[in-house]
Amino acid sequence: MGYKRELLKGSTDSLLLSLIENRPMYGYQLIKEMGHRSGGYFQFSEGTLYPALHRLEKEGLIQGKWEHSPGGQERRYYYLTPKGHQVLVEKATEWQRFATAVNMIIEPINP
Amino acid sequence: MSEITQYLNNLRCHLRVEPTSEKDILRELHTHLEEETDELCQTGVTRKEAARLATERCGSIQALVQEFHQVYNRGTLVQALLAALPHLLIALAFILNLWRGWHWMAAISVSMMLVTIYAWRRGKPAWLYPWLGYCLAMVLVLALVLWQIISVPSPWLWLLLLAYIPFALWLLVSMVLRAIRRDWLLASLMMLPLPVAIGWLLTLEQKGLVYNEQGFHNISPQLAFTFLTLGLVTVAFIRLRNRLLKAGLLLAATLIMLIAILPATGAFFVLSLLLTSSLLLPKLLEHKIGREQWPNDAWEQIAAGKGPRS
Repeated sequence: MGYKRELLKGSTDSLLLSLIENRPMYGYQLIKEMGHRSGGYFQFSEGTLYPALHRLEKEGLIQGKWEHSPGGQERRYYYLTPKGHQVLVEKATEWQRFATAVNMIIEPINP
Repeated sequence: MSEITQYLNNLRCHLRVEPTSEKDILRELHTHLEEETDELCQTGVTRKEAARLATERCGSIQALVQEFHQVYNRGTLVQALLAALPHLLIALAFILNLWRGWHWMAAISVSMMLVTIYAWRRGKPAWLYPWLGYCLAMVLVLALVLWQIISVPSPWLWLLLLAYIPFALWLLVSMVLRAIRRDWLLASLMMLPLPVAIGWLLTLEQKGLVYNEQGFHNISPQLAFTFLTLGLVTVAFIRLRNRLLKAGLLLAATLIMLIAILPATGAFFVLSLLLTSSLLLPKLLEHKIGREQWPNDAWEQIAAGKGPRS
């Protein structure tokens, strides 16, 4: 599924920023939420997720904070920054335009 | 050692990022793998099997390391300029002929030591290593100066030399080994001025200019240019993302500078190659000395937000 990987490469940041915008989340929670909300379509691995999170943090789009969960474990929660919110809005707008344009050209094909 | 600890220890052996980032990465992955293992245990598998599955899902260590290197290996322009600054200070000393005044050289030396100590205590960022290189060079120069003045018969000088040389050797070796353990590329960056300085010493000796102040003054512009070039190479090194390109840059730049500095004969060309290759010594030593293994309880401390000091 090479094409799926390529599509995902360009969407990783948008997907992560969207999830974090809803509420602050930690890495494991993001993987679970990603799979759940996409109906199992997106299966992020740790090898993809954590470098992406660290990159977004380095770019100032999210901020990670170590916090104690209700269960007592310490986890690194990620919060969206104002800059991250702005970038998310831009990416979401661009995605809508892209998806609309693609849908206008690619018509459903009967198998 | 548990499956998770082993996996993270292996990851750490290949990870070459700043110590504070390294602790964050390992702490986060440790927490994640523990949580995934707990969840898998609820499905009925044994803890050992659950840990194995969790680490397997994490993917190949090499791929993970490469991804993190992509994120962390490129420094900012400010970090690049900080790294280049010691070379630029030395270049300035030659341009303005500050090398003639011992008080100027003392001021530059003390500033370098203070900045090095500051950066060392602030998590040993990549830009520290050129500064550390000059500090270690000062330790060496002091030993040479003491050796030169030892011709003056004085038991105190002899005692000082006997005490200083082992200390200097210990300091040099331990700092170089620590740098290699952190990252062999940064150790090479630290040593970057060394082959070039040796090249200049050999050229000056050949021309009989080592103890000739006027002669030294005449070639000050070339010396300044050399250190300016070292500064530019350092900026490029910090700004590059790819580790292979960083290594290539250090080697190519050193070779070109040595060919420009040393007399154009076959023997000196071979010497240039040897001196350039010396920058690869940290890479060879890294395989021998490896990285420090952390004990089991260090991982519990990592998960608790503490962890061994690097």
